[in-house]
Amino acid sequence: MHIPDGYISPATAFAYWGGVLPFWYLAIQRLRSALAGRTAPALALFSAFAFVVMMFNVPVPGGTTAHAVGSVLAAIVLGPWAAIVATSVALIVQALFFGDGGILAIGANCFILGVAMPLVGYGVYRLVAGRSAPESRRRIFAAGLAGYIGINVAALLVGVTLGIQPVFWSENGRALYNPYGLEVAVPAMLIPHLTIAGAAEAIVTAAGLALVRRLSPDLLGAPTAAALPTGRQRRSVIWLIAAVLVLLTPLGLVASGSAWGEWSAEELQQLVGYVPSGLARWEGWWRAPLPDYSVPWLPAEASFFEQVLAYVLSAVVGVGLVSAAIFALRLLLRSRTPSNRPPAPA
Amino acid sequence: MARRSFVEKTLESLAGTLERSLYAEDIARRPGLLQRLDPRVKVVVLAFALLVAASLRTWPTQLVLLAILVGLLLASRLSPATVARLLFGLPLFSLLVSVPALVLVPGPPLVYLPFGLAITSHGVSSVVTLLLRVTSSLAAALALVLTTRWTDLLAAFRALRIPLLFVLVLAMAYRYVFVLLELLQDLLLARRSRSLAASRDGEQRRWLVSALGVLFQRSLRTSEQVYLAMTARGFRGEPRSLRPRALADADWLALSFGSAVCAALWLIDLARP
Repeated sequence: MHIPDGYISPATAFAYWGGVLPFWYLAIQRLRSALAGRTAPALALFSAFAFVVMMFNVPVPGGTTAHAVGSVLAAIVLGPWAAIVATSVALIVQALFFGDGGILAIGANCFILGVAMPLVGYGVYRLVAGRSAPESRRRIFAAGLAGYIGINVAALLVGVTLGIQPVFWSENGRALYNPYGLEVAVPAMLIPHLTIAGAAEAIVTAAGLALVRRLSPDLLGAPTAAALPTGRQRRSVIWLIAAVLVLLTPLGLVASGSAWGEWSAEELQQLVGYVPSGLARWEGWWRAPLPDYSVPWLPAEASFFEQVLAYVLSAVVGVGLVSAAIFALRLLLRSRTPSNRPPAPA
Repeated sequence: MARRSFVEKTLESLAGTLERSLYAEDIARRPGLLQRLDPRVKVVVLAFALLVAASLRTWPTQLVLLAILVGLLLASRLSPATVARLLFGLPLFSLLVSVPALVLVPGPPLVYLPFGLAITSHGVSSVVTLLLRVTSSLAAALALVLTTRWTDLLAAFRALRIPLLFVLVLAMAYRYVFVLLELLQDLLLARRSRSLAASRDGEQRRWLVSALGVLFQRSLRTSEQVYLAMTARGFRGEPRSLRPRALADADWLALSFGSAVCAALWLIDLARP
């Protein structure tokens, strides 16, 4: 389910980075106060655990094996904040060291598997478990269901993310990124997850909770473990789930075929009936020096040779700009920290 | 052939993971072009290359970028066979995934197939674009990760102002992944050496749950012990790191030249009709 680099456009990748950063910030703030000095080792061990869980080949009904993600289990046992950080770090280590998932796509993978999946799963767990006793069977069922729904929401998100690529980024009918539209990408992701991977995740989540409950009941009841949220935490969880849902709503618009968020003023006029004044004022305030990345004084019927010259010229301009910026940076840094300074005494 | 149990499959993936990480450390220690550069420069330039790789729209510029990146990998003492193996694994999977697009992407037909299907020219160019893009993204990522030691990479992240807690957690998580992997490997080997015949799925699942629980408890206990050990060594919530060294002339040259090449490729690609 990890998205490799090259399948999604930089714009999609950046949108996901923008989505995941606030969650990371909030989670680290929250955990720092909840766990005090123990934060770093505890988080590190949990994410090492998450990493290892992703390597388990779980035998599922039907004679095959599938691997689980385990982030819903982490959310139920450790709390949603710890689950966000632990799963994200595990995903980053996978991307950097084991080529599992792209580097530009880290934001997307962490948002889908590290934020959306544990939060949705946690929400389902709280909803189904309700006020049942900690040792009731209902909680085990709730955990299994949470794992199942969590991984399928994640699969749906991956399918939609891949599926909108040809809608937005095609040129002359040729797809620049993942070539399949929603009608192919979404079923391709959902069918294996609704059957095999969903079962694996449900098994890992339910069984994991049952075992933790038997071996370390203190984890689920003790106030120190940040497992059971307090009133304030619970409210913030509800807010988070609401935020995720709000973030997901544009996907519905996309599915109906309109290029969401990329309207020009005229299209907005058609869509909503008016042009926001701010947009009208700011649209076109900046004239690019190389409009459409070609040289402005080049005649429309320029020969091939002239066009080649134009490319080379724009390349030279770009190279010059970059070099100038870096030399300026160097001069700026040089004046403060000369490189021939003797090393500071240890 | 009897179907392999989940124990075998998991053991296999564990062994693969350990082998790959050892191999990466081994390459990062070799004397090569990229190994000599400052990790901060590599992070910045190769991140730029990754961004450019994801943005190029035409195949000539994509090919040039790929050629440059492959050249860098070869100059970093990776054997051509290794580069080929690394670079064709994932794209091969991409090829399998994208083959139906040859037919599914609508466009002018190129080759007619039975059942009224046709390979379209848009389908072909979509598949080629995707393959080149995935391969060069992978090459850029490999050039960064394979030639940099983990500790240096973390120091570079820190120098680029990534929050300390995050880098610290990343560093420790990486270390403990191997502790837990070893534990899991022991559990699986012990299980395998005690079993004579394949067990039923239900039994396997029950065993798996206990393995999961042991790992979880172990990680909790270890985290407590690690914290106590850190406190004993004077950790007060704010780790200290040595000041990173200044960039050498070669590093500045690489930063300037590398960014310029990426920018040039990007501009040429954008200027193409």
